[in-house]
Amino acid sequence: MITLEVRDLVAGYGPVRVLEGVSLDLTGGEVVVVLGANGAGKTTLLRAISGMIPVQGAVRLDGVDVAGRRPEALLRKGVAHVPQGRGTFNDLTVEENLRVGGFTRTSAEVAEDTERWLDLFPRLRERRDQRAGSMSGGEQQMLAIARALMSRPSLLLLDEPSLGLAPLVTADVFSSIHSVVGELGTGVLVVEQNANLALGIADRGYVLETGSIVSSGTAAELSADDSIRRAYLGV
Amino acid sequence: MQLFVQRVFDGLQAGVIYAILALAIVVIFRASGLLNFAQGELAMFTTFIAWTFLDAGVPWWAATILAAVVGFGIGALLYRLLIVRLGGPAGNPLAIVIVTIGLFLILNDGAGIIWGANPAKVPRVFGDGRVEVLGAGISVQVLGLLGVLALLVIGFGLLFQRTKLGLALRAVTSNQESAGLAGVKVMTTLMIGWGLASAIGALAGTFTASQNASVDTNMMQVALIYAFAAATLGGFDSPLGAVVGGLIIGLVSELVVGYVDVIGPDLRLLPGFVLVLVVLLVRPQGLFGSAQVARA
Amino acid sequence: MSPRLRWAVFGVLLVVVAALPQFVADTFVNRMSEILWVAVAALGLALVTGYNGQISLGHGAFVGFGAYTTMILTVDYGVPFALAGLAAVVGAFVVGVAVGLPALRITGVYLALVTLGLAVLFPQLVVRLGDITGGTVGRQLLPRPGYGDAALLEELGQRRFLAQAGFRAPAWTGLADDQWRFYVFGVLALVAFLLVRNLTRSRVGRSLVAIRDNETAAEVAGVRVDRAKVITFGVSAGIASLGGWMFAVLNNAVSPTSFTITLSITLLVAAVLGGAASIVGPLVGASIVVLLREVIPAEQQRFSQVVFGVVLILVMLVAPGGIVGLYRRGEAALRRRWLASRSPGTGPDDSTLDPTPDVPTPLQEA
Repeated sequence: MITLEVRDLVAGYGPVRVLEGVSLDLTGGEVVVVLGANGAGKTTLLRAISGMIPVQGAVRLDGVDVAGRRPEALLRKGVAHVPQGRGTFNDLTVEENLRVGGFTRTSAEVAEDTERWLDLFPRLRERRDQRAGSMSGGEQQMLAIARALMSRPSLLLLDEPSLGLAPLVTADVFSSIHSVVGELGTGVLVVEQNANLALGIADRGYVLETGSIVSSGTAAELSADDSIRRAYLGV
Repeated sequence: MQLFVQRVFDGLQAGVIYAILALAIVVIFRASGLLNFAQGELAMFTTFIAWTFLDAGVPWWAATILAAVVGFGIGALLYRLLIVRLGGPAGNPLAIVIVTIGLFLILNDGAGIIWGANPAKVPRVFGDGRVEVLGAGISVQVLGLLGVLALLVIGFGLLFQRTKLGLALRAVTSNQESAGLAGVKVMTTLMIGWGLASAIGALAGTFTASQNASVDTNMMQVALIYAFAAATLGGFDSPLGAVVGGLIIGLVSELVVGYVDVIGPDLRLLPGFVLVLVVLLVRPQGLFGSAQVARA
Repeated sequence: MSPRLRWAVFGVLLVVVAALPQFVADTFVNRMSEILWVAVAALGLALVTGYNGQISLGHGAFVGFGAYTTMILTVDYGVPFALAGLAAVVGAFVVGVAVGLPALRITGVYLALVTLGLAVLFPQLVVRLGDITGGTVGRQLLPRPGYGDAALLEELGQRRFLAQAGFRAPAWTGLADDQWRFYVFGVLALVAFLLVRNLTRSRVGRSLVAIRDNETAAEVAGVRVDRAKVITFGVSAGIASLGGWMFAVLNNAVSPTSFTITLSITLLVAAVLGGAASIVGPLVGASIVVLLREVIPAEQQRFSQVVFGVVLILVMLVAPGGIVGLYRRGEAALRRRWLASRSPGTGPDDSTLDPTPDVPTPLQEA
């Protein structure tokens, strides 16, 4: 069981500071959601955790500080990141996308996992030899998640999986995420604007506003919180 | 008929060289979206290195392979030391073009300073023999070169489609950020891409030298222009396009120069130039390229 | 420098340079004339590189076009030099538009490719059209004795004589030929520089910068991107061709070896070294390039390409804005320090210091 502890994380781009000291925790097979509006720093948070941008503060995996390590290093420690906008390899086929996802694993493991995820996402199996760029947004999002799972991560970072997807498709994607993590025991840190669906599959949640965590609690507590309901659930 | 067959083979012979150099250009473009204007001079420079080995008594094929290895190193270092500092593929393409033109000058002049401006003699690797095809005497050299080109195309096809390195190269081309997140070492992969391109360029150079039976500092300049034309015609992101484009450019140039008196040997470059303008107007992505390249 | 001070410095410089030919040897005057034609040609290139954000490797061909047009029109058809110059500029504009049309419709580095072909093709074309161009040996603007058709000579009469006499100083000026030439070049260069300056500050010019910085945004703002680019390229070719007219007038002879790819690259070095996104840059760069060639001893000339290559790479790595860019940076830094020392802690925000910020270079570091 992996544990992630983020402490006083400060990060940004050049002179612009986006994260003003964020702390959060995640244990084992938990699904944790970070809610926030556009520009709150959600994407920056994930990029900072997975080592894509320089940071101050601590990012501890199983107690070991990995802040500032490159994404490859974090991947080898079991952290897989699905970037915003899905980040599929549009010129590669579905199967090749999965093979790139398993780049750090042996070919036997890759072959085994490819079948496993194609079983789980039958739509991807139908499109196995099709270019990823020719698929629909929802299919690409599924592919992006399957690709990330190819590295057999113990922690999955998901950047706004609902972005650009129709509500029904989003629901589909979230239920897939839910069934996968249930089966694997993978921890999931998902940042979202769409609080409704995200809280539906999450155990706990945090609310990020202009670079700081402003509240936290279990999914049920957050769903019941009036201010959160107004801001993120649109009720 | 005999003359026609002769010209077709002459055109193919020239086209093979353009095709190999265009392949080098396409490999770099695919890996990093950049054009290397020093590609031809790099090829010339590594050919002089091969000549140095030859002169020291190393057999032709061994010298060629050594030159390709040296070329690989130069290409990889060039990427690491210069292109990365200018921001790599995400950097300013204008600045990178200017830097490759600077390299063009340094390599061209540098080779002259190191090895002298006069051509040096090189053996014709496939010999001077001829075979008769449809009444025309075709040099074994052409057939040998076509064979080498076929081997290169198959080799690169296998490399790109069947190996993990090829997958990494294609992944980096398609989406650098995601490739990095999936554990692909992006910098190393791009260094290998630039290295491979220079190694292919070295082959283009040694085969050109073998065809001319000499090596000199200006031997690749016209070839580079034809290679760019070939890549434009075939599509900058298509290795197959580079090869087909190279052969077409070689053929068209030879036939137009041979049969259209107004153009003649003085204006050898004109048919290729016009072809490029037409392609850019009518089908900017090239015959085999994908449309995104044109608008990139 | 404040705008007023800048104009004052500019005026003093102008007077000094204008007075120089009265006091120095004619070889030096001719060297200054050479700087002027290189500067004008490089200015044409800078318009494409600095403001369109693209590279042309073929401006040497446009210079050649201007030089050959001038030679042929004045010598063979007795056209006065001024008219020949006009024809050279207009003709190059048309050729530039024709070449630019396919290459500029697409972004990316296609223009560099097409113009590279143009640069290599031009000398070939000159050789092919040897009957009128003189082929590989070239031709003089002062015909050799016995050159040409006697009957035609008769028919053209006085006009031909004018052309044969070359570009001479009119008697009323009291100037030597080289001095007259320098002044004419100076006025032409001034006109070209003011034209580019006004062009880049006009609506069209600002839209060009908009294109360079963000093509989509410019399109959204209603700028006809492709048309603006093609026209700029045509103007830029016309300016380079004016440089070619100056070349022909200065050297009184044209031959294909003067207009190879080497010339195109020399112009690129001049523009980039001086600062491609500034108007003074090409003049600064041209002075250095011409004087550098002068300083390097003949037996070391073969190193000059290596030197140019190293210069190009170093400028890109260290000072992408060229010498003018460096100067602007230094000036801005000095002014900040000066202001800071005057009012410590309460100085205005840096970004508001310069009310008329210079046009940013595409080649300046990110």
